[in-house]
Amino acid sequence: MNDNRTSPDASESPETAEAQAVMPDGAAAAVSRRSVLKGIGVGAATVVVAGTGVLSYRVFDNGVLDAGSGKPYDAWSHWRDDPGPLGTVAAAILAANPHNSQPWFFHVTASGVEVFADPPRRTGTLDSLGREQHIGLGCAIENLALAAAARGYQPAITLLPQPANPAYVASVALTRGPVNVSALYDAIGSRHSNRGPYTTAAVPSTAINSLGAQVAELDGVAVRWFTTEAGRAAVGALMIEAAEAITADGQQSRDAFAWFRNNRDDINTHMDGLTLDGQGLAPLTLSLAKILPAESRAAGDKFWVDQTRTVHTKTAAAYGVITVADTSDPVLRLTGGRLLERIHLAATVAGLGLQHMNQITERIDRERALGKPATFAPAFDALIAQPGQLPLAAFRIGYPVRSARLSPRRPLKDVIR
Amino acid sequence: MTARLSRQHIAASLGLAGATLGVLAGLIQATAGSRIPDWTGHKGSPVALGLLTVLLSLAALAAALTLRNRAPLRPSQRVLVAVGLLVPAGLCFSTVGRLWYVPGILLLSSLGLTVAAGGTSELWPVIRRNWIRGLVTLLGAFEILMAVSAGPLVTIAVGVIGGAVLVVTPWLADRAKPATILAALLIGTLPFAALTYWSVASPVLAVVALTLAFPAIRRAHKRDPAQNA
Repeated sequence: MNDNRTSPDASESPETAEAQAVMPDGAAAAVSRRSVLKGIGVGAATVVVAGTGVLSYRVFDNGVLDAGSGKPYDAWSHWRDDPGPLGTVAAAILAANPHNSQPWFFHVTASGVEVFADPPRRTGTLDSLGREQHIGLGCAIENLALAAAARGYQPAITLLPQPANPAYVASVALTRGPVNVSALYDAIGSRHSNRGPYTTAAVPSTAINSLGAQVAELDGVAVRWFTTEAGRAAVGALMIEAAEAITADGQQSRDAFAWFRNNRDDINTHMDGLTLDGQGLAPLTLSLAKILPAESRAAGDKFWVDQTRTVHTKTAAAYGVITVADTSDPVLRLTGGRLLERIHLAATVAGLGLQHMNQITERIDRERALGKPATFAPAFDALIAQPGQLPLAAFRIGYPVRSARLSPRRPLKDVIR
Repeated sequence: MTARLSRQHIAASLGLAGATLGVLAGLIQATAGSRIPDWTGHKGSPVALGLLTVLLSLAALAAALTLRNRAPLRPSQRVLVAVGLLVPAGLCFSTVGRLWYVPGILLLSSLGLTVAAGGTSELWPVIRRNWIRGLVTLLGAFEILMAVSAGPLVTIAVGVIGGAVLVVTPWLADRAKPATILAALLIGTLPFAALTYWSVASPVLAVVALTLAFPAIRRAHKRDPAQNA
């Protein structure tokens, strides 16, 4: 047919004329089909590129490729810089604390450091009776003391130096003494709550004993360990039950959500709170979590309960519970916080992961504050089974599958007044 | 002076003003961004983002300078200038926070006048002809955007260089040997994707870029094999 079309004589033939009349239409149809298909292809390509653009923007905007760097994380790399009293505060602000609320501020003088509670930084109904804030402050005081010794100071700690002023939680007088750079001090910058899975390896009893030995020189506090399978199962079940109770309590759920920073802008703005980076997720899962739209409170609650059930309790090699005679005594709370920080630092030195698990004690205080019948207090007391000793704070330990990531911290200038 | 040329020159003035302010905004972000976060968008990497803003603003400046031509630009030139204004104007809203409001609006106004400085119908054939190459270039810009928010420095460097290679490669397709273009595409995509595979986005970008670029390059070489000899 093509030959006919190109033949000089072809136009003379009626068949060829017909063919000529048909061919352009056929060609036009073919071109049209090709155009349509091409248009669909180009449109699809455009949509795919636009989608890739959205993905790329989320990666850029949420800091997927550079988690743990920038101003909110600077405190983790500069805490050794200052050799004076200010440096002790730089170490103090890296301490463990409830929901990374950083409930503190400091007053630095030539002769020491005063530590204050920052009441607006309480975590609401999650800390109904102020227990967790005191524990967090106790952790900060311990870091401060370790940093003072490492800088050649002899720290003299007075807890609640002015009983009439409960926000003034500690005075740390600094006088010159020997330089003591301890292993615990060196671990301050590497200590992070590890909420990821732990391996199935058991923690040797020597390691547990070494952690328990941190109680030395701290009066009125002790640690109760749960290392057997039955003990861990019982504590784990109560942890899950408490997590479910918190998510079912609208106000506690809202108060927890208020301290969750879902994107990089929030982290940069507040420089506090819990983040996706701190959840111990696998790298790919973490990236997807950051790229996808932020979770709702309900979805976040479900995620936490699921993680508690399938990761936190399932892979805990052991639980530890700090116990005291009176959980409402601020001095015992602060001292318990100091012990908790020491244990966490010692665990870091030993290569162990540690996660603070506050849900049971948060429910105990919530029930007490609301005047409801106590359900979690007797259950936890029964597990601890040590008359006269009450649970102050709980945690799990184990050998972590992956390293914990940094949590954001407010800079020194924001916490010194 | 024709109305067309007049619009083009107004577009040039707006573009020059916007690009100059953009350079200034980038310098402020890079040097003082962390001290004025409410203005600069609370960015985690103000220095890198500031420098990216400066680079993009310089691209916009080059585009705006082209508009100062004494003769009306050809359609292909207008498309190129429009892209040179659009990409910085759009991207920098996310790099320097509120500091981009004025430069961004000026550049977008310049873009509008550039498009209006002649028949819009004459732009379509140019756009249609270069659409896929433009998409690949856009992917290169996305790679650069991801890279400047990355860390450590080696990842930033690999991403920025790779993205830049991806931006220019489609436009060299009919001037270089296929093997060279193929190598450039692989260099532009794979190293950054490998370094940041866990980000999901960079491997996806690499696959999309290679999928789009290969047929486009093959077509370019089929069109004019003599040029590639």
